[in-house]
Amino acid sequence: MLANNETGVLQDIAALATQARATGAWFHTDAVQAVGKIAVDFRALNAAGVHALTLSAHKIGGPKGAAALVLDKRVELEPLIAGGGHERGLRSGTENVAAIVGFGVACELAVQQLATAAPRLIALRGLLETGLRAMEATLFAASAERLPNTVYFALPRVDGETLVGQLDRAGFALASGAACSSANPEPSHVLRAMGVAPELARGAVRISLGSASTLAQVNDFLNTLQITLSKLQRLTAIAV
Amino acid sequence: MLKLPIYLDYSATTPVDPRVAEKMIPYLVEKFGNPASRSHSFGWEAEAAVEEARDEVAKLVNADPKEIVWTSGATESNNLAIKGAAHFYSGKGKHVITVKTEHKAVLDTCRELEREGFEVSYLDVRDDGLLDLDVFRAALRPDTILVSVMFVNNEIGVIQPIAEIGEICRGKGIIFHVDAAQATGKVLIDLATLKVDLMSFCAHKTYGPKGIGALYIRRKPRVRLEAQMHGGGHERGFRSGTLATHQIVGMGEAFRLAREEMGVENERVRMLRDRLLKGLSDIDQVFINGDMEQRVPHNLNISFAYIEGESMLMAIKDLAVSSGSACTSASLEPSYVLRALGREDELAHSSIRFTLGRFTTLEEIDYAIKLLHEKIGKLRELSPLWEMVQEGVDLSTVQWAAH
Repeated sequence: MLANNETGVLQDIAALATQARATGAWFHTDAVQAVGKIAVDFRALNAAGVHALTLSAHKIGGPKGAAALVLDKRVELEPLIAGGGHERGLRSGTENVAAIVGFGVACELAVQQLATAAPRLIALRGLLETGLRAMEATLFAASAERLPNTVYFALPRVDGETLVGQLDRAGFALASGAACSSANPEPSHVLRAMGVAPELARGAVRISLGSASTLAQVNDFLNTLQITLSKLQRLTAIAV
Repeated sequence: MLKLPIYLDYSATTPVDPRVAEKMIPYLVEKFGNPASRSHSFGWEAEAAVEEARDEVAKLVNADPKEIVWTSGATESNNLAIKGAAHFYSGKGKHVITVKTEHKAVLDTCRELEREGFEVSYLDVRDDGLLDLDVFRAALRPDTILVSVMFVNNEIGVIQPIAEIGEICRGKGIIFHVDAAQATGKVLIDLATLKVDLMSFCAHKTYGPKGIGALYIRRKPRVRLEAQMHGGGHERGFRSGTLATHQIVGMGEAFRLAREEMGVENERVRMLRDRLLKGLSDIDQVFINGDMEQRVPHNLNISFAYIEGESMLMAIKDLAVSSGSACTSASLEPSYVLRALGREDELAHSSIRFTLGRFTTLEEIDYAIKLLHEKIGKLRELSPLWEMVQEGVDLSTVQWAAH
């Protein structure tokens, strides 16, 4: 994947694809989290050896239920859904016209806003990270190149699920990992793969900002987090 | 005031009912959460809406909500049902039965199974479009694992004997799949009594949005499937992928309206369809395709002899109709459904499908009758075949020069 959905880490896809090309392998990248947040240039990636790229509407302000695969013309695929031969035989079924129109407009807006949105998000993220560091948070993958909108952290001796629950009651909606696995109590497989100890991974909380996020919200959040944290740590201290 | 063109192609797709659209919109803008997010109220709100809609879909067909799995539409449902069941039960046998007049979503999927080594029997229908139960019984083999028969045909609107086929399949332990894309809101579907194991639905033929559908998967007796789409284990592992909350809400509302209004609506539509039929029946050499009794009230499929279908469509541009199904309307081939009824190519080629719906008016039907009278007269004046027939030539005896 181009940008990781939990950590926001950006892989050097072009370099990886160049390596893969040397062996003659086809190269696919899931760019769902990257598109609209950083510049993604399929032509350049394609020249480096990327043949297919996945993008989705609902991560960039478009509707759920529409997505696309950008495909090098030379690649032949076996369709997974048969029946009528829509989309040049690669994906049959009546097109979801309304969602596709929404996807198109969302892409147009994303292109227009990309240049101004990214610096703003980076500034907000910087504030969050400074505040989190002051609370002795571990910031995952902080030294890697990351998406402008994502902060993934853990606070000492605080369970991620518990913290997210407390913050929800305080008016902040965030996640302890990906939505698709949020019913799963296991620590993040992404953090485990990065070699993070399970105890620390259990504390993981993901903040992902968007175009509607403001400076006031970030400040509010840090204050609320500080209060929640003191409360939770006091409880832990009593329990111990 | 009559607004042109007049939409008479409700079997291709229906408009979204304004009541449905209204219910969907909040789930795009304010209530936008991911229903899989378990950590905050945005997610819970979306999940509750998804489950409410699942209830509504289940209620229309008298099923348990736990038996409903969301998909992107009937094509995906058909793929999941047919490939999923065939793959799961391939240890028991590799023979599948379907019918020549099925939708491409079923036929193309069956072709795919053939490439994988399954054997598929494509059964003929009678000249009224209905499947003959004796033909069906004779096709069953000890290694038959799956039968797929559509509830309502998309081109001619005939209703297949689903209850009887279900009894036969259940008696032999064969999985029975039914594509009900054209049936919801048009015929009563009671899955508590029908012995159907898998049933495909979509929203956009029943005044819901495009891009959303569902598959019914029976729990008692339990039917197993191999998932076709992986990643995250949504929908109890049957179909991964973020649920499109607004679309699902739309399908739920559309199916709720269908349940509440289909009784009255179908009688009104039947009255209009019968008026159209009566209005056209004084034209010479018109032939109705498909049985008129075992048929949904929305559909009228007629062949106008000695007129070429495409020139007919050009001549009646004020009417949005089709000469086949939408999925094959780009092709100039005569309809494979009508050919399966035994219609010669000429008649199959000159067929028009009129499909009426919730927003069709009496005024529109009367306009259509008048327009068809005018244009058919004109087109036949131009037709050398029509001239020969009028002179008493039997066209079947004519030796045509090859070109």
